[in-house]
Amino acid sequence: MSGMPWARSVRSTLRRYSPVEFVGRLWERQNNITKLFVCILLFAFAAWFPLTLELKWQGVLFFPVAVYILLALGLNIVVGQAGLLDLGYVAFYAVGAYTAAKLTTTSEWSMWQVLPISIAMAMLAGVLLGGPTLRLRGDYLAIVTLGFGEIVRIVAQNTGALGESRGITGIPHPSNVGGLEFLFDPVPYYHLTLAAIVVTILMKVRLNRSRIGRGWIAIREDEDAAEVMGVPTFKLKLWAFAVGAAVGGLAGWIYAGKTSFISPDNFPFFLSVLILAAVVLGGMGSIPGVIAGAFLIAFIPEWLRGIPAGKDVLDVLNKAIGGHASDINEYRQFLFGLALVLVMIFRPQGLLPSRRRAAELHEATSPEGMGAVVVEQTSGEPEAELGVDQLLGGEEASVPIEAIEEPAEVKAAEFGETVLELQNVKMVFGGVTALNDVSLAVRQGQIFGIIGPNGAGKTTLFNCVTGVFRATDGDILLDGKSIIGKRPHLICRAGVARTFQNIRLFPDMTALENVLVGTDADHHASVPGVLAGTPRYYREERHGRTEAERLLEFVGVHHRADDAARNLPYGDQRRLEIARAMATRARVLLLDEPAAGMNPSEKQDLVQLIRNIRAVGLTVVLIEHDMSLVMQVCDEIAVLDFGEKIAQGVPADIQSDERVIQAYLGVPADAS
Amino acid sequence: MSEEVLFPLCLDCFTDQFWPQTIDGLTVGAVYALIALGYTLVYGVLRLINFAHSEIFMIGVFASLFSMHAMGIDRNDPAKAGLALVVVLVVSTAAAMLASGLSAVVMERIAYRPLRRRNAPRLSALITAIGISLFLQELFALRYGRNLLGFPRVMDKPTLVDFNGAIIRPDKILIFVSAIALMIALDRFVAKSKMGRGIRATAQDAETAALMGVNIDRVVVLTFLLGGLLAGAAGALYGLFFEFAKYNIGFLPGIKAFTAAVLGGIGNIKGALLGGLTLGVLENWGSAVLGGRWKDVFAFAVLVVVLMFRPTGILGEALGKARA
Repeated sequence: MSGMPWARSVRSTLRRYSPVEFVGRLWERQNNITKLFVCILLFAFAAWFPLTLELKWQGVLFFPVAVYILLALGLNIVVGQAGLLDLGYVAFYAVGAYTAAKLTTTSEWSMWQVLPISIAMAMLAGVLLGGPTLRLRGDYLAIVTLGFGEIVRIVAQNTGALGESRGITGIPHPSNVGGLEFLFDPVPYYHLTLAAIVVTILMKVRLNRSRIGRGWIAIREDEDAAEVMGVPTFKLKLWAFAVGAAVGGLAGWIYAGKTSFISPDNFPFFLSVLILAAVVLGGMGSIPGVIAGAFLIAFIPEWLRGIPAGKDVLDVLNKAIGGHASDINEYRQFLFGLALVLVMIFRPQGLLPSRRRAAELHEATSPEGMGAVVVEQTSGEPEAELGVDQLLGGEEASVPIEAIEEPAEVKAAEFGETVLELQNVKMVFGGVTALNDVSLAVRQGQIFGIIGPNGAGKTTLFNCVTGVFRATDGDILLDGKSIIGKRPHLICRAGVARTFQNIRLFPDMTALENVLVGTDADHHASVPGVLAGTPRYYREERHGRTEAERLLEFVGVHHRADDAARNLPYGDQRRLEIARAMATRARVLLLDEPAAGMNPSEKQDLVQLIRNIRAVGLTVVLIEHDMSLVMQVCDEIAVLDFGEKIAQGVPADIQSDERVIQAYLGVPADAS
Repeated sequence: MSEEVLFPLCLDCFTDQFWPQTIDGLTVGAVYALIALGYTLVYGVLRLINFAHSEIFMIGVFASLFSMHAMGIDRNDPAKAGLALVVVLVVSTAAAMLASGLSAVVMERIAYRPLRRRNAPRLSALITAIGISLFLQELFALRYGRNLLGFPRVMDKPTLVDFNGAIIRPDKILIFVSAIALMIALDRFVAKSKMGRGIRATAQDAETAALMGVNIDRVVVLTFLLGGLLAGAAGALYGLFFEFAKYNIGFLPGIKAFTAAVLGGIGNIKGALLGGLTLGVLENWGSAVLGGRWKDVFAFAVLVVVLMFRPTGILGEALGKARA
């Protein structure tokens, strides 16, 4: 009963003996020029090969295969890149096709003239669908997109102007360009589709290397952390939908121009599923994988139909399940349904995976996984232990105080103006008041400590400041301007960045990429800008890279820059998170228990790091349970207890404050 | 462009057809609610939307039909009455429940458990569910063809009462009453029994439940089994009402039942009942106003609107809070 060990051994055998892995490693070792050359060669071959076939029907096959590949590449942007499961992708294909068909048959416009309109309409459909639904969680989104796909098909079927179930006939072919004659010969259409495929791939590669692609990966790995680190998650998800839809619309336009006749039957739900199967089988996110997957799905059934052995395969299948199919094609959906299940069990990364996706799909990296146990995320306080003697600076204090220069008694006047101010902030969850009337003022250049027993509301306070929660009452000002009610990524861009109590890096991105996501908070290259390669885009990329490298060095993780964040040692992960937060060019840095889980020598380094951060001009707000660290490094400390601020002052005052001691030790029995 | 109105609103139709549509809506809605329970139970425990549940329902419809064939009932046989009718109904429903329940358990064992074991991401589970759905539909299509298979009419369907055009028939009463009875039984089971307590504990906090000695695997199998049994019963009732089986018969009721589950608050047993009845009635009213061919679009639109404005449904998500 225990856990299907056979599934695991099949998986590892597949991994060890797969020729795919070998080719993959070989490919990794080549330089860019070689890679480019090989790609050009492959595409030249793909363009030339159908011309050599003597039998016309063999050439006919290439066009649908290419359309499948194009659709799969489009869906790959949505599912593979941004991690949004779209079960209604065929709707965009339909919108592109219907737009082209309707406009060319009822107006003077030619196919080429309606091409941009078809793409724009598909994108519009993508935005219309995405706008209201992209805030939904993954599985809800999937079923809503499924519904959307059906709505589009049923609307086409019920609308007189779109020909109802008869569809639209007499769609003109595109006029000839550059020696391609678009008539009944499928080969020119195949070449046209091939060109569209090349454009799509270039687009994807380009976006991937930019802040857009990094943002998509960050969203996929940890959406909440991405938002807090300044990634405009909603906008980027919408862009993924729009770009994916544009490719679908383009495919629809090509299809309408080729067949001259479309009807709702061309756009069934199963087509969405088959395209998804292509993306999943091949390996989500990987271009060669997706191409291979689409090729398998479109080509193999047709190929089996054409060869004599196909009849035997059909007989075997019919016998195996007691079927009565007369054509191998009827088994297409059956076999690909089965393949989806098997791939998810044995090779979830697909046939030709991208490196990163392989790790992600094998095991959930975010708490979103489908575990044997469902671990609910709570927004409560941590279970960190706090020794009483730590508070009182006893001998068990984990940072030896004498090792560090005692900070000079800092007078309030030495600091600059107030940067972050909380005015009577109140946060109520249901009947629980997590924060009650908390007011604080943090001044430029300060290291401001927030301490308090577990459940005092410290992390809730950070969540309110960064916009994860919206404070029930009161105001939070950054440089005198209210930031209440702003989306977290905007607050981040305004200058407040944070780290998390339970480290929330993007685990399968490299250390450098993690920091690059941070630098992107200050970058603004848009999707069109990235695609067009504007000077600003290149400037920002260069700037981001230097900045990220500098910061990695600053926190001391530069030697692990190219390792996946999940493989870094614990202390490095903590420091990497600080670098990522600093990369956003925040002026106020919120550190949530940065010393948790660190050993004494790591804590020592941390103290130095926090001082260095202040030295470069940042203001630090620190939640920490390690009292000796807090007392050493902080200029001013606020103490929270049961959501209320019970004390504030310089470390020496806090240490002798009656209420603080009571909060930690309890009220003495004889106190009245 | 044509003068055609895209949505020919017919408000008179609404008032004319109010009662007939309400009665039919409640009948079909009760079936939706039964299917919705399968989504809700599995979601409550695993936080997984089991897309393949619609095929579990489809298997129920087929099993009910085949059990009638096995009892030697032919398409042209006259309707049964009295004890014979009771036996036929009980046997066919039991066959459907058994077939669906077993399929659900096998599905969990073969397809979902390996994913659960290695804590696979949700996307993998969703893709698996779609794969199973496709596989099962096509299996039935390949074995039994892609055409409708008619049910024998085992039960007379005379008009008992005609209330403002609303035809009340014995089969509608039977469907409604048995669906409600099953749901009450399930609700009591989850609220009162020891196994039900295990389900609720797991739904609230699986980790703690496991530490307290609840066998999570058994709870998961149990939820799939319960969901399957109810979907099977829904299949038998659906077959009795619409009198046909088809390989893709589960697709629309499946999505609508999911909508119903979300509408009532997924993970919430009473919510599934409320959501099913509400959706059944709403979509019938919608089809009265907009015309029957827009019925499915209307149901999808309800889903989108509910998810946009109240994603936790009418009664909220709370299997764990189902109280005695």
